[in-house]
Amino acid sequence: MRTYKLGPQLKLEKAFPILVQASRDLGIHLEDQCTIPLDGIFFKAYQGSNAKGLCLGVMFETFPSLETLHECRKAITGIQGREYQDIFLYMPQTETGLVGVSHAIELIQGVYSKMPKVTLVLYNFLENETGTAVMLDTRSVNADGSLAKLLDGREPGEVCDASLPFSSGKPVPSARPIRLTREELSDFIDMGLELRGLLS
Amino acid sequence: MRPLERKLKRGLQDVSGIFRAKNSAPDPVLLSNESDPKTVAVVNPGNFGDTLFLNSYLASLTAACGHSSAVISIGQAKKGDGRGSHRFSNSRRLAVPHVSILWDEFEMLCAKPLSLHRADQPGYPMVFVNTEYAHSSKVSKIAPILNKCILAVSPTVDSLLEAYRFIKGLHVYNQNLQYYLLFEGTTAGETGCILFERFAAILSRHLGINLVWLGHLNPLYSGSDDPELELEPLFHKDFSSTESPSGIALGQLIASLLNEYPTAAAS
Repeated sequence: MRTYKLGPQLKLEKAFPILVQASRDLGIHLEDQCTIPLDGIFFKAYQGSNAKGLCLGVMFETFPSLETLHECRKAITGIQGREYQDIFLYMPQTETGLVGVSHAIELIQGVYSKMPKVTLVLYNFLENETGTAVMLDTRSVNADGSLAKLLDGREPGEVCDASLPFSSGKPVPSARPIRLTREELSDFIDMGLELRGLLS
Repeated sequence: MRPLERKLKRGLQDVSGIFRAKNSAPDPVLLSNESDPKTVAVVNPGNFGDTLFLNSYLASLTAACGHSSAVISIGQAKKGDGRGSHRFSNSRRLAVPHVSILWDEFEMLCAKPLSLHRADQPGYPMVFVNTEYAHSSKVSKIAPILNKCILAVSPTVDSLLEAYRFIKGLHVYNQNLQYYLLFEGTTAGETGCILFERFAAILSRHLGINLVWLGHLNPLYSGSDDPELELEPLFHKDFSSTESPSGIALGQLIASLLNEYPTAAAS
């Protein structure tokens, strides 16, 4: 097991047990982990295996920006010699801020549209530090316990907002979400792609 | 008269000042006058740190263009806040009056704006409103009195995404608001122009809002006339906006407070 300590780790270390718990819920055996610096934002990555085979997990300590999502996709694509059967992205639900959960999912799905193995896990360590992960995309889940109850009756690939059962009832600071439509988000994703093309 | 001659002869220079030649005389019909008071908010969506500086800086530049301006901060009560000289901050270094009022005072003003509105009481034609724009509950109270909103953002997609969310939220409370955009930091060049065009197109398509370009804001520039900024569009008369009695009252409130405490304001 490798651990690289590159910068402030407090929030990440606090959140990491949640990743471990969530990974177990997903039937993943952790094999390797590291911390990756990316444009000043640190995220933790693990490599493990589940019933399907090799899998990769990436955990963000803050909700990633559109630019960071693109960078992460580039980094994942650039990993050579590995055929991951599942890729899990862990993001803090409480920091989605004004985006709103369902629109965050649309944003991420827009960026990762050509990577069907990606599953998004929103965790919520600000409101619930007990290690409960909220699974929102059931595409590649083979879970049991509370997670299975949440996912019961869902079709693979269906997005379900399962955040309510875990809410502590405390108001989130940015309580009034400004929801963006799929078309609006799509326009901004296109703008980001165009800008990346201009700068590259 | 031939049909062709009946068409309106309308060029780009009639649509916006940015297409007008630098040496051409400004159209006096389009310029606002002192009897046309405006309330302006300068916001930095996604990073609502020091909006007082942004408001004061833009107000000082506006004043340098010959439009007397003032800044009013609306906020929570702090220790030592109250009547008198505590109302005046040290934004005099930017050569504009700055007055602070509390939220309850603002709400009283909105409830009875005409009590302060006197024909013989001159106000400030440009009032920059500084408050906690990150809180939606505050925005819902402020938005109806605003005429113009200047978005100061970084030339990145993420900043523009935050700006879009902010505008979408504000649009619910005030659909007559005129929006302006400026990029903070060093000149973004062609990339900045492309970003502005794309962002303006998204705003127009989804929200029906026309965005006006103000250029680049360089906070390190210490002169009174920032060469990267194009402030002239800010003074154009917007025929779609309506004057808010509360907005007029804010300008008069600042003037009356400065008259009431001239020593504090001048010191």
